[in-house]
Amino acid sequence: MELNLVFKTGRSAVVELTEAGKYYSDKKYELIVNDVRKIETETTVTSIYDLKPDTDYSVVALMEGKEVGRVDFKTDYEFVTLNVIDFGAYGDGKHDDTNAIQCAIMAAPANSRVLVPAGTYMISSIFLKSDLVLELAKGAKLSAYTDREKFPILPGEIQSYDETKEYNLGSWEGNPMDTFSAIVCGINVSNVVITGQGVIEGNTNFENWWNNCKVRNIAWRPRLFFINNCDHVTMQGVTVQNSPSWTIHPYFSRHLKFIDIKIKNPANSHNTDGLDPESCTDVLVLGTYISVGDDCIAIKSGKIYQAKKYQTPTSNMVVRQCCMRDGHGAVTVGSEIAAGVCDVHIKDCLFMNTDRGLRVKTRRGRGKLSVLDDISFENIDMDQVMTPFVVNSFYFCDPDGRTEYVGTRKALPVDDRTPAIKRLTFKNIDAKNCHVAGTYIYGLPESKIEELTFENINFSYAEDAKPGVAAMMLGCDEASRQGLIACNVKKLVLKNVNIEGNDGEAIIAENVDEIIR
Amino acid sequence: MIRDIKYENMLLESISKVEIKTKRDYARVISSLCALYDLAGDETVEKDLNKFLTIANEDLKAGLGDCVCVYGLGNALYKAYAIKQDEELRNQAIRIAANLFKQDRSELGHFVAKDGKLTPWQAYEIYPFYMNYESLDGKKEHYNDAIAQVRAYFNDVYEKSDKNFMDASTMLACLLDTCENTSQQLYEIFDELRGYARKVIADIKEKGYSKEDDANAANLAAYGIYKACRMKLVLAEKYEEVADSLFTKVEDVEDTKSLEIALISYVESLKTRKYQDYGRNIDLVVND
Repeated sequence: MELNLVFKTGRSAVVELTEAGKYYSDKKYELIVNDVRKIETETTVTSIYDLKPDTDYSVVALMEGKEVGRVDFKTDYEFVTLNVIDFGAYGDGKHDDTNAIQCAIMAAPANSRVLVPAGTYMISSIFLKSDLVLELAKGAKLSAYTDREKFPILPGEIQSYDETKEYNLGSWEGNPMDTFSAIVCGINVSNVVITGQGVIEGNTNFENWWNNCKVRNIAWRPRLFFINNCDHVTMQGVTVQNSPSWTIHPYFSRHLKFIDIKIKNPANSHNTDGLDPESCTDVLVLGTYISVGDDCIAIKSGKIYQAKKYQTPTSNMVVRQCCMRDGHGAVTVGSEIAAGVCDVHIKDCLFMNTDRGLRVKTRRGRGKLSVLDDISFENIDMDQVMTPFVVNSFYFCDPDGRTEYVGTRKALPVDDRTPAIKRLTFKNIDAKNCHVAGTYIYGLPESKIEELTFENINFSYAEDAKPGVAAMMLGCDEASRQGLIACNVKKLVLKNVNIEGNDGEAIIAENVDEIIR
Repeated sequence: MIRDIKYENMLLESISKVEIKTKRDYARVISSLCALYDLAGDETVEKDLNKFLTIANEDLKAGLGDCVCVYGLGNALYKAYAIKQDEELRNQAIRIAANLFKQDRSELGHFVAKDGKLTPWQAYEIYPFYMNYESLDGKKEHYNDAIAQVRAYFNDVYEKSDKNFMDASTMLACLLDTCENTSQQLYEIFDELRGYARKVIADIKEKGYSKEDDANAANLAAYGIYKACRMKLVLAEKYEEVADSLFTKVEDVEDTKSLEIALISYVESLKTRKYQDYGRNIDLVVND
């Protein structure tokens, strides 16, 4: 075990105890800060608050009385603190504090922090700016209005004066469409940190944003957090909840970190994905807890128009030491992946009570730029996940989703509309209490999945395994206790795959060119 | 929005003077009245609208016929449905839409009339309706077919034509109305239609057409360009003045075609173009 520093600001630090568990530590332990302060923790990634700027700290991890790790660091320099109360915010849950907080943000010089102290601050949209540290203190809540007339609108596209380009601001489900600006919004900013123990509260329910939510009403629903064309943005420690739609939506952005975040939406809420990086690169999701009403993490790269125009996949993404639960998929790739997704690695995570563990959704018509490659899952524990791994190349979404073109199992000619899945790797996975199937993987017959590797995999089923539909595709019937099903794959590697309690054959491989055991 | 009530009354009075006997005529009159009613909700306009809806309904009871013009009537019924929310109007439109799937097609796949061709006006009748039907009642299942057809028609018929003023203006109106009925959730289709519309506007500009050449064509072009500005397909800052130079208030109308063109171009000229309203119906207060 080792104790590593993963992030710091002038007032906080995040440490990780390695080889100590998956999201939750195997044993409780203590962090002793400068020999004085004791913090008890049961997560592998822990934030330490109430530090002073430009100060040396030594943190020791003690487990059962023994030192298991130590890290020394110096907190960042801080010039000034701008307390939003000094800028006219009330924090009383009644006054509209949007302007006061925005004023503090715009006035903040480099190397400073904007502090939101304990209190409830009613806001509509606040906009980030470059070189900003925004701290939500313990007990601070940015509480969003739900009256749509209070929210600005981000137009989908604005044509350039020379008529050669479009400037894209708003986005809805992979297309450049008019959308209400997010509760916390960043456009073209860099070097931003949002930190603290506070909460960003969307206040959404079925009487407001989730009411009749499939229909555009003036503009499409806002996100809770949206950044467009931003870089070096970190969100650490905060809780974000009850989002009007996708919760955290980084869009065409780079060098992003989401550390020790808690993302919570009710299980029956609509489209409340947890974290949806879309056409982003260099993304780290570490020590984050996600429990939502749709996919926990959904990795995207837009629909056909955006893919053709910008050709920007989501790439170089790592998800570690996270807990994903209750949603439709723990980690989903798709369905808006027209520009592709590659180099994505999920490690040391816990998936609980989700419909699926990994879920890849694609279909004919996503386009030849839609290439999924080098996606791996390693060291994952799953419990009560209906079907741990689903790759669905016949996802019946969009208006033509149920047509012959999308649904036929016969090989069609490969053309500009055909997507591709190259390498998917699953190692050291322990999935208990499965219900529907261990794995349900369907490539396209005309564009098979190139390489699928399963190594050190254990699937076992719940005693009361419930039937369900493994994948949203035509011809996938309700079933339970199915084993490992793989279809339309070039190379299938099966090493030490153990399936216990299945009905029928443990492994069904159809139209697979090569199987290596 | 400053209405010219005198002009509106002149156009409304001409309804009783022009010949109205075919489905095409009913479509044009109903579309015109819907546009005017949508503007201000006048009771007298609604009365005329109800009257012609009744007449058209009776005509349709005798059969849909095999003229492409029935689709223009279908689209007019959809416009009336949007105003009146009468499900029977929508059901009639759906019945008409069933014919689309039996309509003849060219070798390239676009619709054709009995004579094996499709004039620009017939394209204007059929494609906005096809897209409207698909968006409202067809679950968008044939969006790909609709755009493939428009693509084929645009490339193989319009681009190879002499792009005379009326044909270009009609093509523009067809594209704009089709675009307006397309869900942006299939943005690549919306974008393709937008691209064609921009091309036609560029053609009209390049050819230097004016209202002196053909007032009807000019007004139809003005309708399309005003609408393109309003829908943010082109910059209002640059193109509004092009539309202004083409738009003219006519002194009289000789048939339902000129009536429809005069009314829809007039109504479109009054709508907000300088900013996107998002359906909020805001009225800016101007301080002089």
